[in-house]
Amino acid sequence: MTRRGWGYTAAAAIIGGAVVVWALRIYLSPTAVVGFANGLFWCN
Amino acid sequence: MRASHPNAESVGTPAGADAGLHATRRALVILVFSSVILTLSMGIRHSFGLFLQPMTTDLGWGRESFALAIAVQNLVWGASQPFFGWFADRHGARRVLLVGGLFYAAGVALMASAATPAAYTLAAGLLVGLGLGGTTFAVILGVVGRAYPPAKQANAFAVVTAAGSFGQFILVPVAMGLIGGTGWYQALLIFALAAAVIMPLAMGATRNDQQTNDLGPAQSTGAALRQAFSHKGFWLLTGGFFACGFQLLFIAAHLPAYLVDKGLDPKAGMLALALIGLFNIFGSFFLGRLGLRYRRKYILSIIYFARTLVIAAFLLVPVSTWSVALFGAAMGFLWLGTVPLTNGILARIFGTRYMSMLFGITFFSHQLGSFLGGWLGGWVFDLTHSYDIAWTALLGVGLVAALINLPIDEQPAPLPAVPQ
Repeated sequence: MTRRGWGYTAAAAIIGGAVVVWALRIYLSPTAVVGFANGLFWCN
Repeated sequence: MRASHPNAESVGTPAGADAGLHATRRALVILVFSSVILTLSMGIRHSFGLFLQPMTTDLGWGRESFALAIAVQNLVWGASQPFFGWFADRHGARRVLLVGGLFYAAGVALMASAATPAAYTLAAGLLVGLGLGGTTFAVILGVVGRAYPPAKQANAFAVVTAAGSFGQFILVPVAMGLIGGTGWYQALLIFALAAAVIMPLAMGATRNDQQTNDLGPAQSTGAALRQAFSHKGFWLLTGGFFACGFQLLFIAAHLPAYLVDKGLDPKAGMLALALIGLFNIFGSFFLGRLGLRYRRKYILSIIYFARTLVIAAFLLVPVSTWSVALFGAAMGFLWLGTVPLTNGILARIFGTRYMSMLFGITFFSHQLGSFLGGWLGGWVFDLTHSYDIAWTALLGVGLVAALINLPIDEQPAPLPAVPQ
């Protein structure tokens, strides 16, 4: 992979990691647990 | 005999190389627009459960009203996919995506202003169900399948399915933030606007729909249906997909209650659902890409078998936060990898000319499985005060699905004889 390719990959990994951490923190918040307790949290 | 991909003949010359590069970029643009559409369409619906408590509390409705609307939505979604798929195959996906986006946006906006449970069922059940039918897998995978030559389809299907999984994972916390920050009413209106964005995105996703690739044999709708219905592999694939829906909805709907019954903190169950969502992104992509290297029916069979093993292991070990987290991660990885593989097998056997319609039919089977998995799980629990029978059914269904995928003949189906 080129240096530019590695740069894009690293940037995507950092942004993606930050988004995942943000999302997981919200998933595990008390509000989410209330939503989860509804039993319809996922409307699959 | 099938024509080769238009790019294949011309790449040997500089002009051909330019044309090949142009076609690759064109396909990439279609893939990006399609991925964003699926991120929105799958993600928005995934967050609806979060609206249950604030809406029912504010409006004084019973939860069954909300649950009925969601059940209707799932059935309408499944039942409408073959028809939307057929229309997209025959007349192009653009109009289907535009109408689907309109239904979706109108449905979500009307959910916000529904004054009675019946109006809510009409909005969230019928309109959003139709919106989903027009903007999700069957139509989008058809668009993507037609943009790529057969050798690159598995990769493209994997990317677009992973985008849908990403939407499911990421729009749930977004919905929570919006409900917490602006209230459920404004949150729904913002989601209605997001659904409306599908319409302009559709213009980009369908710039060259039906023109970019080998579509498979020229045939009428009736001939395509007869060909599929007389192919044993089509029914086996459809049966396997029923099992997929049955397993997933049971877990999504009943795992929370099961874990609480086992004395676990609700936060452990929340962790499992979050991990299912997260690992689903990687699983859809990785398992879909395996279709490039290995026979797709074997990977499908392994997925169903692996699900059965994971469920059995989860039931055999003592339930703890760790076992729940591991279960969530493993099941998440195996969650939607079936979609690109099932679609890939259909494209290989029948070509992409009627792929949206055929996938729509298999997806209807998936939705029937979902409906039964969710409903029977509750029915059996009410009857026996235990989920044991339902878990056993999940294991059995998984094993059957693993086995019935094995005899599928993945070779392109021969064209039916045409009378002279």
